[in-house]
Amino acid sequence: MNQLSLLLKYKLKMWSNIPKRRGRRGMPLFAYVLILAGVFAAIGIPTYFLFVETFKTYSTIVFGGVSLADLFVEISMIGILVLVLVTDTPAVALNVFMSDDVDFLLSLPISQSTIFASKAIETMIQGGFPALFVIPVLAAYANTVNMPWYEIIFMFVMYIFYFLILTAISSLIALGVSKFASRSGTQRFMILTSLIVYVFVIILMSMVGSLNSNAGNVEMVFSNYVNTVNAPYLPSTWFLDALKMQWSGILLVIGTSIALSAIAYLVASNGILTGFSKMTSAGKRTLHRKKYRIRRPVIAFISKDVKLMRREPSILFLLIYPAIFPLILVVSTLGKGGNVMNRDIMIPVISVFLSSMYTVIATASLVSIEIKVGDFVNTLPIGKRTPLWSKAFVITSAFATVMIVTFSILSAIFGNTLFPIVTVLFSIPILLTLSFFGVYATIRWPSSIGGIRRPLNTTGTLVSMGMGFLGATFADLEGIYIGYNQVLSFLNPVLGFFVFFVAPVLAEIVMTIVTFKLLSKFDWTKPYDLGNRKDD
Amino acid sequence: MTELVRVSNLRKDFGKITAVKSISFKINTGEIYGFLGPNGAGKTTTMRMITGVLVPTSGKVEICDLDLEAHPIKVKSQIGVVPDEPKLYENMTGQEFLEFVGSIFSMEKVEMMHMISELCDAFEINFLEKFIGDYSHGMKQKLVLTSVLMRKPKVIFLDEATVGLDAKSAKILKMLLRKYADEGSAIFMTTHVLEIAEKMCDRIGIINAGNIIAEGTLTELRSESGKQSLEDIFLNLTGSNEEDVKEIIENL
Ligand SMILES: Nc1ncnc2c1ncn2[C@@H]1O[C@H](COP(=O)(O)OP(=O)(O)OP(=O)(O)O)[C@@H](O)[C@H]1O
Ligand SMILES: [Mg+2]
Repeated sequence: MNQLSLLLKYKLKMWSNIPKRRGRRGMPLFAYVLILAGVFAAIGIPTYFLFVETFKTYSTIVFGGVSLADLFVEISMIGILVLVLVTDTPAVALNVFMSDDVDFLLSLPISQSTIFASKAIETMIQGGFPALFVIPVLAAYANTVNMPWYEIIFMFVMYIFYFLILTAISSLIALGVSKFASRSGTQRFMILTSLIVYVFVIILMSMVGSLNSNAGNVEMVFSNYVNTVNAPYLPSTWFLDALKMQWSGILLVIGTSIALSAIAYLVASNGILTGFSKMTSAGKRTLHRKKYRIRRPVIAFISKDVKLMRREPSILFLLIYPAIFPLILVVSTLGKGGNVMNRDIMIPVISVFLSSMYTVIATASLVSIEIKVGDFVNTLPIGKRTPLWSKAFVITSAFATVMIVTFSILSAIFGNTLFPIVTVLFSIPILLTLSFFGVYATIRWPSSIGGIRRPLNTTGTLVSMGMGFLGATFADLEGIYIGYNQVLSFLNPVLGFFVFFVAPVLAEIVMTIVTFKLLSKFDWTKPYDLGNRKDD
Repeated sequence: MTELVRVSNLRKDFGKITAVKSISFKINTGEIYGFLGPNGAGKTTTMRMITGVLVPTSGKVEICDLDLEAHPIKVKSQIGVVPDEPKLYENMTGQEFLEFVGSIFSMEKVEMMHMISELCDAFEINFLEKFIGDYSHGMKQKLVLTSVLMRKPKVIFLDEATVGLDAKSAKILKMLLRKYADEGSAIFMTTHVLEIAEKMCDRIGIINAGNIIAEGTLTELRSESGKQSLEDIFLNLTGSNEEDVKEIIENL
């Protein structure tokens, strides 16, 4: 026990020390906790009232003993199950079991079960935040069925047991994955699973979206899902039974939870946790007879950057958002009629905002991959700036392609082509400028951990977001002027021309000049030195 | 005999620290030059300046009669660099990496494939289709060596290249370097393994606290210091002799 608390303290210290490294004044830990609490409150409280409202409105709907509130509790529980199993498992395998500090811990005179226990608790902390978002649903449920206070406490205790089941399963799978899979394989698996989650989110959104009509409709929609959701072998069903004070449910939740945790603990303490599988170079003589391609140097460099971009999950996610958000919005407003014009304006505008801000961050991530590799690129016979403009070019092309494809599809479906296409085209030059700004930001405001996931420090992130926001505003104004100027009929035409077209274009030019001025101020011998610091 | 590398009065300051004070030396074609010195003496810093990674505070570097500052790209296309730590793109496969290097240096395709297949045999490399992120230290080292040796550069720089290699690969590397030197390349290598320096290097430079304190062939160094083994010569020059070391051990 003593050793366990020591390990956890050491980990906590490491986490809270990250922002402090390199002598920078970092945010204290409680500030992070406060921000997280703020985010939780901002999302959780409205969610609570939304669900209380929904449960009251549809209290008459009952499917063979299962009310709509019951159903929602089960769906949330399944949602958390999918979330933990699908997204957390590979993340845990990578961050916990395949991390180098397991190798270090195993070399210390600490029992394996203690190491596992500390890792499991770490896992729960890392994967635990999304679990909090079920709490508003549970609270709304308690409110709807008028639970007395002791049952509410009982409900949350049950939820802890339920979460233990998920953590135990997820740890066991992660452990297995870390034994048999390679690190990069797990990383690619993570991309795939996250895409599945996105699809899941879209389906859920379309369900919620279709709710807004009458009660009969709701009943029809959900009657299709009742049997699947309420299946007796799902832990979510046991959980609901436990909330209704049925002994079978209570026993199943507690029993399974204890049994699975015990199994995970036993498996781990019996020598399964022996570091992740590293490849060995077997001494076999295998002739290497593969086809190679030689490209022109510049093309080779760009295609290398494209590969690095395609294979970096954090950049891929940024690329997916500007495409996925329009889709979610379209799906959730489908069949609602009315505000079609609003939708047609809103979707491209939001998409351009997302692309602009993410272009800066994605470029920063790609540049920081290069910085992490360090000296190597400086030994190549290419211009000092080639690696940097190549990154800006690759990222800009990627975002432009994503937007053009998305809006071509949407326009083909919905007919309105002019505004989205014009807006997207206007945003491309500003995306290029923003991408170069991302290069600048990476060198000017590197994060203290120097990570690819988080390439910029807080100042850098805020400034980059601000620049992205500005750039998107300019592109959107121009798009509205050219593609949708019937909405500007209330304005004096000359004034409209200046405010919506001349001013944004001028502002864009100024922004571009400033960015290149900033970049040219750099001592070009220094940028890559970032990655070579001895204290890294 | 032509001088492929000429370094004069090289200096590097990092803020208040002076990592390299004033270093000058030459390497001829066909020569293996060993660079020895205690930890933190400035070996890596010197090599990074000569290979165009780090800009020196002052001093001059000429490689193949080209000034590095004036013609960085021309110089870089003539040299090969094996750094002390093989940091590479984790999300690329070994094969993609070699393809990339070959393209950047505008290699002949047939020549490249021939060299890769020879070097893979020599170093027992059978993991080129795997991602570099999954390689061990030695595997990364072998990949870097292949990417450099396949080009047969005029000048090769190696920073502790045998670290992490198994005995057989280290032996092969040493023999290959000798062969490349005999074919006219110049080779600069730092090492802590005095035995390697003793057996392989034609000339040795010993650096301490940013200055070269002795230079010459092994025979020259022996006659200058009056000691036989390179270990004694080295310890003597860097300010600690047999007695000092014994005293430290006894006091522990
Ligand atoms: N980027 C840097 N910033 C600040 N100081 C540095 C930097 N790089 C090297 N130094 C300092 O320069 C000195 C020489 O370092 P260098 O790496 O050249 O030593 P070395 O001879 O290669 O040592 P080793 O045998 O351990 O590899 C050290 O004191 C080191 O702390
Ligand atoms: Mg060194």
